[in-house]
Amino acid sequence: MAIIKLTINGVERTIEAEPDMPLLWALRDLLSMTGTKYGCGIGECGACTVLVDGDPMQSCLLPVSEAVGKAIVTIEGLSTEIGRALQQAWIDEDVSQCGYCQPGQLLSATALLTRKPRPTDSDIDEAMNSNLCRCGTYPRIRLAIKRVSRGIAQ
Amino acid sequence: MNTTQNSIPRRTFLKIVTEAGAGLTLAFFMPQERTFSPPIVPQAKERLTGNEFAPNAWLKIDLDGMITVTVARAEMGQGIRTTMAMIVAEELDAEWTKIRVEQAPVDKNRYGRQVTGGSRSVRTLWTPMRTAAAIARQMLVTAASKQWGVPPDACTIEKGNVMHTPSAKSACFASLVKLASTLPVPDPETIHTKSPDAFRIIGISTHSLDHPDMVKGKAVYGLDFKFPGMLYAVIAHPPVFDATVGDIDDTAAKAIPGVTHVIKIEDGVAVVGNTTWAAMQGRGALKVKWNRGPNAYLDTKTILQQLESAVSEESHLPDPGGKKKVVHAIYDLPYLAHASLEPVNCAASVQQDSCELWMPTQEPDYMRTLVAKLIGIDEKSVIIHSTLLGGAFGRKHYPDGPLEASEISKTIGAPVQVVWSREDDIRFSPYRPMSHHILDAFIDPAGKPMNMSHQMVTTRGGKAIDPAFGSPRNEGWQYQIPMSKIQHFKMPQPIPTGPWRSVMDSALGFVYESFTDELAAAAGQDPAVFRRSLLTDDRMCRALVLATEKSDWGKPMPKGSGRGIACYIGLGSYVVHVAEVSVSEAGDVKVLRVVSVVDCGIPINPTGIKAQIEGAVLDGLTTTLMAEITIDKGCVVQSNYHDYPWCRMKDIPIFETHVIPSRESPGGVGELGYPASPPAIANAIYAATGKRIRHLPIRRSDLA
Repeated sequence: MAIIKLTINGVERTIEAEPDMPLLWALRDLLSMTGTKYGCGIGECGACTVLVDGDPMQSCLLPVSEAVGKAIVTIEGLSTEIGRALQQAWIDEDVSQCGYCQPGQLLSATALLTRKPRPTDSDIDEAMNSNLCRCGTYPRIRLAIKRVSRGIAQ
Repeated sequence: MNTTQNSIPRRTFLKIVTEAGAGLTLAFFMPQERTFSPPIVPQAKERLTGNEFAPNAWLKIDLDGMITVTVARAEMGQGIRTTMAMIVAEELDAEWTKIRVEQAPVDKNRYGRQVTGGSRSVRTLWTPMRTAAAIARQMLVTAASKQWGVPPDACTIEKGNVMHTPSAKSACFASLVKLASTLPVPDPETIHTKSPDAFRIIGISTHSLDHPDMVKGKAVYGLDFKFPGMLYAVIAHPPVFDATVGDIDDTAAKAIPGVTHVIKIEDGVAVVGNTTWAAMQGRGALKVKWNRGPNAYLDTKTILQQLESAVSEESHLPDPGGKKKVVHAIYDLPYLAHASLEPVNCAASVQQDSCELWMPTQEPDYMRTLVAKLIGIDEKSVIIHSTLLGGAFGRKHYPDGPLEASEISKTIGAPVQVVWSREDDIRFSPYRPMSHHILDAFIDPAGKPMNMSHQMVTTRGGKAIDPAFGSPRNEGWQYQIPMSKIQHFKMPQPIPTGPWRSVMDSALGFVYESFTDELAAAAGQDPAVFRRSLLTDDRMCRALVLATEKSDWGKPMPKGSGRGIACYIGLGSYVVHVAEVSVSEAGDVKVLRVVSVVDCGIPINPTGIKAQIEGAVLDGLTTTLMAEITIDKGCVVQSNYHDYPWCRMKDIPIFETHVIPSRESPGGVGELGYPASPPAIANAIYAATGKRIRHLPIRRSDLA
């Protein structure tokens, strides 16, 4: 076990964990931050997506030791203008069904629009390809991303 | 040991459950719905506090005017909590912002059977919820009329206020709570509900009450609940169906930091740890020698051969005489797993004579019964908390997670959460059965079908939770063709089977709508015109005609692309899909556009209906083009989303979904979109390539 200091949503958190413990389980089981979801454990579904220094990463594959010194943003701390606009657009477009994958979808969408405020359909396909939605909410995810994109442009 | 199950004599198969009907004309008919409609039990006097007005178990209004609607169905993405709230708000004429929902506790006397499945929630709760709210409405009006000394029928309600226009008096619900809660509760039989003409909430797309929490990561699913001091368990399940635990070597597992227990349980070996990760690591390090049992050599090929040998390929069709053309087709459908994103899980805290569980479940009352029996305590001492479900699709009818959690918590004497890995979830599911179908029909020289037959063999296995499961619901066959013979064999196999979105209609939709397309081609007729000529149900006809209008049916498409149509009647609803696809020379299929027309009776929340239809169409796309479960050496071959893939953003078509306005009673929606989705796509592939799709999923080599 090691004492590990992480910066999560701008707050320094100290945990005692095996260095190879994936960030996902540190968040969920050690810090009770359950907005980040387990879906596959092998980086196939994206339910565990968090932002690491602004980039979307699958926290089921990221050992806590490698997250040290980096700015981690989870769904609980999504507070940028784009992030909040996306959350509202998700509500306005009635995106969620079961909702389980949506924290991960929102973080991937936030990274996309932060990097590229006017994405094309194929930009959206590519950026969101790592996030699986088993309910099939993709058409509305696309609409919600475009809604925010239009807002940024104005 | 290779048991070569091929050699089992055919007679054995014929002993299995057979459902046959001869000389039936299967025009459209709606089977008797098993009724799960709950009672409306008036609130017991002692529960009336004066601080809230709760005339029955379904709603209450507090002194701040907040209305709490009790939802006795599981929320798994179909939006049922919001739908129920809309039904109550409508009948109460409440202000939508004053509505909140609460998940019902298990209580059969007050809420009836709490099963969420078969697209039955609205059908079973529509009348009880409306009546329950209308009772409250009448009592609020009575309270106001008493307060003002005016006749009740001179009062009206608008947006949460009772009004008496002649005297310009108005009272909000909150101000009437104390008085209303002292009034006698009227008999439900005397209550009248609103006319659809007066609806102002039902029929208007309404945002979900749960979405704000979902987008903030605050929504609580089963996996998100934690008891204080809770441990986590990951289970080594028998890799081969019906295998048993032999020797256990837990040395390496126990050496993993954080692993606290390794225990043998009823159906495997549980590794318990202080984090999910520790338990998963421990599970990885655990060595179990399995007694692989009689199924160690079972594979999909063998099962298919057995299905094939249970029916005769010879036509069972009586010769109608005269000039005619025969159409013969064989269809095969695979096992499917549900693969809901939240895997099976349950948190249990078993005490000496009580037990508390938190879980995502489609049947909390059934879980309570089973857990009570397992632990050996009274049902009333088992408290079930139903969380949100991170997808279910039929999977969360099953008690495996809750029973494992209860057993482990009891054994180790600590609260524990069982977490199934994705691999467990895909490998140890009750699967949509594999099925094999032989269809024959004669067509007269004018192209009119004379008669047809259908022989079907489906696998069946595991601990079925419902003996009726797997039987066709006699839905999904909407055409006027004399059905000379329909036979259904259920063949026992070690692979467990269970309900999967739309249950057997998930197979029958494909089989019947593909075959209908083959009949149209044999008759030399346009598939939509041919279907129309065989339909008698007005609602189905109207949906079909609208679908052809909205989808540019009949307009030419570029080479290598085509349009396919398929219809489905079931669950008290109607749907038509028109799919457009393109097929590359290499055999890659792209679904470009899907136009759907839905008639589900009174559409309660149109945005939710469209979401369900489009999601189900995408399930159809996935299971037509990519996903199947296969067996090799007695094990499920697939294990995670890389080899049991589901569609992604890049795979989706353009959707145009039309919901027909209606005054008919609301029908089911959650499963409605699936059955006609694979055949619409397959029929479009035929239109594009001339190649018939008779087994799913389509392999690239089928089309290259």
